[in-house]
Amino acid sequence: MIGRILNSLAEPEQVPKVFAFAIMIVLLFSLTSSFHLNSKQLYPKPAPQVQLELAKQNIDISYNLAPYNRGGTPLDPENLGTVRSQYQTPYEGWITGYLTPFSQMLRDISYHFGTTILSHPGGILDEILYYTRGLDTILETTILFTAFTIASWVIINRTEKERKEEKEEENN
Amino acid sequence: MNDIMDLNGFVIGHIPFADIVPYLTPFSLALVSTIVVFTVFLALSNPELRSVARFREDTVRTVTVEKKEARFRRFMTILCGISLIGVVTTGDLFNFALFVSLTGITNMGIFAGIKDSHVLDAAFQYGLVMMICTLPLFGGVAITLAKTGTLSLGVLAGMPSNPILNISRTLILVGAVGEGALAPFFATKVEMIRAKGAPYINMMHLSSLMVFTRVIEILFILG
Repeated sequence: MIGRILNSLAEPEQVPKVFAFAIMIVLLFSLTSSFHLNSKQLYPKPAPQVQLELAKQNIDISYNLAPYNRGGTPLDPENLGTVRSQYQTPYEGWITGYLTPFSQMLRDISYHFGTTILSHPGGILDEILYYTRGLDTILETTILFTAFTIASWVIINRTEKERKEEKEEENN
Repeated sequence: MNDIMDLNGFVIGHIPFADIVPYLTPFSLALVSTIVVFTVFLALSNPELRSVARFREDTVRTVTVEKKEARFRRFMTILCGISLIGVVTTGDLFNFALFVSLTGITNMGIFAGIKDSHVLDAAFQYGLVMMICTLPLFGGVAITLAKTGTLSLGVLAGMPSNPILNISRTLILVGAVGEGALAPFFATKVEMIRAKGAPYINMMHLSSLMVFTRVIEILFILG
């Protein structure tokens, strides 16, 4: 019995299935247990529904970024954006409020575009990532470009091989 | 709860990148020197020449790797060595996860150029395992961050253990086992090692060993 199980494990096709099954069991036991988050890690800002209500009342144009409004004007030390990070820098909150002209246009149109502005390039800047965790961004792009290198190498050599085969066929 | 000093000895030096602090202890110094020596040895060596003798034929053929393919695999080997140095020296949990997945993907790169179909099949299965196990690896790190509010191993070493940290330890262990092709899942690795081009393939054993050593240390620090 044990020998049969070990033999089936030795085939590469079985490995991902067994692994996925093991992960399923681990996740079933771990993710269903009770969690409570560390409340100090949350941004000090009003709840999303409150922000949307404020945006509807049309008090301040920056509430149109709801629910991602962090306030502040760019490069103004007297009106800083709300940022809370583990590692404090003197320039925290200086550029959080910066938006490109296109993003400003999106903000002025409607208060429904908050998520769109956050997620497209030139929207709200993630200062914590760039100020205190710069090595992470370098590593992530390294992983991405390594994957690109492998994929492009495989594709180039494959096409070369196909071309060679085509030439051989023509010669024949 | 285990202090870094108790596990590895005194800290020789550290690099303060804001809140990411790689550190070096006598233990990790030994690992780093092993990796550097091994990587330099592999980078300078040529691919093997394998002799194939056939029955009922009076010839012995010599099989070798194409020069272009050998160059690509040498590049991936060096990249794998660099990421392994990151794995053993980093003092940040999220960076550890990133370095481990970089090691996994460079391992895939070492095998990507081989043209034997059974090797490529096994490499494909290993790639599937690697993609699956990024979920528990980064999930465990995220749970640690959400619970304790820090990713720095130096700070985490001083925190008492609790059930949620034990969950994240389990997830990190499962993730690292998959990325490094460790104990019960090395069937794919055995198939892949049958490929020709010997010296570069040995990098995969070294990466398994180093990822295993480091993940044990991190589990001790968290627990």
